[in-house]
Amino acid sequence: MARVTLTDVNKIYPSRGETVHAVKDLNLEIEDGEFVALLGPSGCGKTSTLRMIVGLEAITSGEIAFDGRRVNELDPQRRNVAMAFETYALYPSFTVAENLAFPLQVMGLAEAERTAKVREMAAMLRLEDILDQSPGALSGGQQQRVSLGRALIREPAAFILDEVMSHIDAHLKFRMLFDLKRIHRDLGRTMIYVTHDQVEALALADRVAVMSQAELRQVGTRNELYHRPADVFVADFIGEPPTNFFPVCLRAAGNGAGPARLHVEGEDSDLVFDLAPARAARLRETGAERFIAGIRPQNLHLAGAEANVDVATVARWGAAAAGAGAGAGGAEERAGSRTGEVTAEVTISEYLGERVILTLRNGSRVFRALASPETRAARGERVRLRYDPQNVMVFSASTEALIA
Amino acid sequence: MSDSSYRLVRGLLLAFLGLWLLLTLFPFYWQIITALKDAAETNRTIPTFWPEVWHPENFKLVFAERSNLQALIDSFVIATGNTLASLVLGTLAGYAFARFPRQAGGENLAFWILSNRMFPPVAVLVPMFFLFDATPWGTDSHLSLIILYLVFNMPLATWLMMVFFRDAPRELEEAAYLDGYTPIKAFFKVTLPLVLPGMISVAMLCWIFAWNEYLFANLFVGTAVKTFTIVIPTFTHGSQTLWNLQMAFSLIAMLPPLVLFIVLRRYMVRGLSLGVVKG
Repeated sequence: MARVTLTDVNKIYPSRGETVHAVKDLNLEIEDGEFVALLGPSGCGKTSTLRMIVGLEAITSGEIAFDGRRVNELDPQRRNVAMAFETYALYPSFTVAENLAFPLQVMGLAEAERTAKVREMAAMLRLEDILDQSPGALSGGQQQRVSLGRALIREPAAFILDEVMSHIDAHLKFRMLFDLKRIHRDLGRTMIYVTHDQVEALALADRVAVMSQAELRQVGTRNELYHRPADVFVADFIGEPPTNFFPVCLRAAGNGAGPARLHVEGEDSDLVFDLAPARAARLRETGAERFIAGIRPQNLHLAGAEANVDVATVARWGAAAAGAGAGAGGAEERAGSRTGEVTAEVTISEYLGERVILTLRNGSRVFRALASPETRAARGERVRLRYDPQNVMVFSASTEALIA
Repeated sequence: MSDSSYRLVRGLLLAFLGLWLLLTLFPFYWQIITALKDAAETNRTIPTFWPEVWHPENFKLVFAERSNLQALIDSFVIATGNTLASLVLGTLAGYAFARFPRQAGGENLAFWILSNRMFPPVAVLVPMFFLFDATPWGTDSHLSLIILYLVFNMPLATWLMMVFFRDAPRELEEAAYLDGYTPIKAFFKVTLPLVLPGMISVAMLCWIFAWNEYLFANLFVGTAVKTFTIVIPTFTHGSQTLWNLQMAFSLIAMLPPLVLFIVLRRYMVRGLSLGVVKG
C-alpha cells in the first residue's frame, strides 16, 4: 500500500540529435488506496509517466516517492509495483496457471500457497477453464484477463494498469470494468490506470488526471472534469460527442449596460450566446474582448415542434428561469437569465438508437447537438435550439484556460 | 481463366520445373554414379551413364588413408568450435544492439559489423596469414580457423540475432523485472527461450559456412590440421585423378550438413525468411 507522489517530474528522450520532452513538470499525488486514471490521447506522455513510476524508464528530473520515500534510484524489482501491460506480455512457454503463479514463484512462495492463490485469482477473473492452456491458444480478451491476474496476484504497493481494456470487445469490457472496480474495492490498494478511453477512466477512477502534450491538464473527479473543465483541451476531450467551440466576441446588448452576450465571430454567422450576469462580470475583469465559448451537444435542446423534449427538461428550464427571477419580454431581453436560443440548419442527422446526433450549420459554423430519437428534425430544416446560459463555458482565447 | 489455358500454364510450369530439376540434380547424379564406378570406368573417353561394374568399396577405400577420416574430424571440430563462439558473441552483441541501440553504438556500429561480411575476403588473405602466424598457436591449428571464421560468421550471427531479439517483445522482460527478476535472470529465463529457434538457424548457417570453407583453410592449415575441403583436391595426383574416390569422399562430406538441414529445416527456413515473414 502506498501513497504515490510525483514532484516536478520531467522526461526528456534524446532522439537523433534532438530531444523530445515527453513529460513536463508533472505534479501528482495519488492517495493510498486511491484509483486514479491517467487519461489522454496517444503520445501525450501518460505511458512515459507510468513507466517512470514503475521504474522501467529513468526519470530525467524530479522525484517520485512511495509513501514519502524517494524511489528514483530503485530498480523496478525493488519498487514492489505490479503492472499489467497493454500487450499482455504473457510468458509464451508457460501455461496460464504458471503465468499467474510466476510472480509468487519469484517471491519464493511455497507450492501449495501458490496454487491456492492462483485458484482464487482464476475464480475472480473467470479463468478456471483455461488454466492449463498456453497463452498462444487464448483470445485477446482471455490473454488480457490473464495479464491482469498476474499483476493482481501479488500484494504490491501499487497496481499499474496500462491500457488493459484496449483489446477487449465492448460487451466483455463492460463486465471487466465492473470486475476491476470490485477488485479495487476488495483489495483497497492504490491503482493507477492508464487509458485513452474516457469511458473507462470515468467509470473506474476516483480521480482522473487528464494529460495532453506532455503536460498534466487537470486532475479531478468526473464531475469536476465534465462541468468545470480546466481548459479547452479537457472540455474537448471529456464528453461524447465533443464540446462545440466557437470563437466569440463579448458585447453588451443594447445601451451597454444591458446583459452581456457572446457574438460568434464570422461574417456569415448570426450565432449569439447569452451569458449569466455573474459570468459576464468575470469576463469583463479579464479586459479581453475575444474568447472561446464552448457548449456541450447535450446542453443544446431542440425547441418547438421538432423537439419532442421530455417534460423533465422543460420543467428544469422553468425552474432555472424562475430562480434567476428576471423580467419578461422576448428572448432578446431575457438574455442571461433564462433559456437562450439559437437557430441553425440541420445538415446531418445520425441515428444512434437511444439518441440522435444532429450536425448543424449556421453560416460557416458547424456544431452538434443531441436530440431524442423521436425528433422530426430533418436534413435541410432550420431549427431552434435552447440552452441554459449556465452551461456556456468561456475560455481565454490566448491561454485556453477556463474563465467562466 | 478458362480450363484449357489453365492446363497450358500448369503444363508449362511443370515443364520448367522438370528442366530445372534436371539441371540442378544432374551433378548430384553424376557424383553418385562416379562414386560407385571403378577407377578404369571413370576415365573412359565415352562416359557411362550407369556403372557397368558396381564398386561400392570406394566408400571404404577412401578411409584407407587414415588422415582422410582425421580431416573430417578436424573440419567438425573447427566448424563446431566456430559456431559456438559465433553464437555466444553474436547473441550477446545482437541483444545489445536490439535493446540498447544508443549505448551499443547505434545503427552505424551494427551496420559496420555487418559490412565486414561484404568485404572481399581474398583482399585480406595474406595479411591475415601473417597476423595468425605471429600468434602462439600459429596458422596450422584448429584455433586459428575457429577465430578466423568469426570474421564471417560473427557479423551474420550478430545481425540475425539482433533481428530476432527485436522481434521478441521487450514487455516480457519488463514484466519479468516487475515480477522480481534481475536483468540477467530475465535475459536467460525469459528472452533467450524466445529466440532459441533463431539461435538454431543461426548456428546452422555458421556451421555450414565453416564446414564448407576452402580458401582460408587451404592457405592456413594442411600439416598438423587438415580440413576435408583441402583433402578433396588431393585425389588428383599428377596425371591421374581418382574420380571415384574423390566423389565418394565428397559425398561423405556432404552428409553432415544434409542431416543437419533435414533435422533442423524448420528453423532454417525461419532464419532465412527473416524480415519476409514475421514469426
